[in-house]
Amino acid sequence: MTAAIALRGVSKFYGKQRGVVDLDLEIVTGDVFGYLGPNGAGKTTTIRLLLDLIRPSGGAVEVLGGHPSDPAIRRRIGYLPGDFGLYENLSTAELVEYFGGLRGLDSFDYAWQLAERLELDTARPMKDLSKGNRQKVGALQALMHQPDLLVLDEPTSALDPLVQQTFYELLAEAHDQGATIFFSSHVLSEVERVADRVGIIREGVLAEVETLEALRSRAVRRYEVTFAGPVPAGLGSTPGVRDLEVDGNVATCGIVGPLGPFLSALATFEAVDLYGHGVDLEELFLSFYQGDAS
Amino acid sequence: MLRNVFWKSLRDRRRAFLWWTAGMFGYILLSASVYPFVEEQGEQLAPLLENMPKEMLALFGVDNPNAIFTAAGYLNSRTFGWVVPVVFSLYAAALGARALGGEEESGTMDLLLANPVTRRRLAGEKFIAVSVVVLGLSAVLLASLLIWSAIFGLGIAADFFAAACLGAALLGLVFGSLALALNGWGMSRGGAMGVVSGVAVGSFLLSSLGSLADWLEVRRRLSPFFYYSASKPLLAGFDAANLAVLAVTAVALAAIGVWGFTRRDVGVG
Repeated sequence: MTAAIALRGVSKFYGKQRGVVDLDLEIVTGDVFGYLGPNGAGKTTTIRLLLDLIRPSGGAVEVLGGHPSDPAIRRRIGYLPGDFGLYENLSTAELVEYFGGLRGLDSFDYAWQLAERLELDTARPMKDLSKGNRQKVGALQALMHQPDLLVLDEPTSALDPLVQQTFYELLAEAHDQGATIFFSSHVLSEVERVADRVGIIREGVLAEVETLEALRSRAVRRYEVTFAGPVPAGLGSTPGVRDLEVDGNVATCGIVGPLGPFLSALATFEAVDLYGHGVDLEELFLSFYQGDAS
Repeated sequence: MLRNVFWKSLRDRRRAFLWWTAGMFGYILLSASVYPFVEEQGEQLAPLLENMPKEMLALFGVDNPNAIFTAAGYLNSRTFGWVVPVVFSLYAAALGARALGGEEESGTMDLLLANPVTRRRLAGEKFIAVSVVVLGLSAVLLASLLIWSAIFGLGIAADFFAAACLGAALLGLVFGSLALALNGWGMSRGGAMGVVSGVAVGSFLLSSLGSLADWLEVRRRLSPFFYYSASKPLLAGFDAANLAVLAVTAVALAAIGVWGFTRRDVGVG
């Protein structure tokens, strides 16, 4: 199966300023890929390279088996930029007509369906739209031609939770029909919700590409244990335990890897209560962000 | 009017174009209404002008003080001497700088270029739209001159007027294409507009004052205004060679701009 996206040794510098450095990334057709990183890490640079809006300083960009400068390839891409302007004097209906025409659509039925589901007033000129509604227009124009590849830059940042829900449903439907989805975010919860695989970019360098499951297994889980007496001294040296904090009879710690050794230790030390805070992916990502991932 | 980039670009300009049309009619109306006084006072003023420094007269396109109070002379020195070419140059430069730069500045370029349109085609259609709008304004100018001429009987042939209006449009397009070219190679919309305004003023001065100094005489041919004014269309009609120089320059500059745009990074809004 050909990759929907293949970046080979792609670098981008703006003069001397770093965009991204030596990116190698392959995204299989049909995947939902979350592209995570703090602001300024190079997410938008990567995405704009995928659309041929900017050209790499080195390396090769391949999208849908071709080059994104080819209109036939771009016809199959839906793009929602992170920061975009709209034609203030056009209404949504007119934008659909314009872009639909450029994309050679025979029918705008799906676009009108999208507008209805996103609760967009298609007759209003864009200069009268709120930030949330403008984002809906962005989403609509990205989805309206039912593209094979969706490239979305921080797609839900301006949407309220209810609309986000609708948007995720639309993405799920596109995915069910075989679309590949590449989206960036600096919010973990958004990625966790829909992505199969994630890439983490930091200071222009791809730090990690993993399935979410693999990441979870490596993530720190936080537990709170109450003991009958003082917290035993040996707890901190149990394999997998880190960041032990003691407050009277209560110990709080993170666990990495298998839980077994920790549980055996608790049995020996007469724990009276155990409370789990669950997987803290956020912490894992923060450690990647800070560049000290183990 | 949303079929493609060309029609969309025309649509974007229609409201402003109506204002330009109104302004153009208004200006010609004003010129027409003051002309009878100019004609009347011509006899008294001509000797005065003869005593004025010829540098100053040249700046206003006057090379024969006795001829400027005829209708053709008045139009040649005043209307077509500097008002019309300056208006067309600035109007076209603004359109040229805005053609691509406006979409980039307002952040719509990212969305537009995600559509299956090549950059060459996009920029090419933008240039054609600019040309159509500028030629459209010159048609408005022509129409208002013909109306004036019909009412007051100026005695200038319609094709002489047409040659003058076409010259003004092509002169404007040279500057419009220059703005598009600078923007195509990465200069901001405002930057391109500033540079082109400077170049336009410089070439106006070069052309109008160039006849006075030997060392400038040769360099006059570098100025688009030279090709615009050399043929004196209101007195001599169409001059295909000079018009062709302007047209070819405009198209060549636009092609360079389109080429630049296909190669460069597109800016974020």
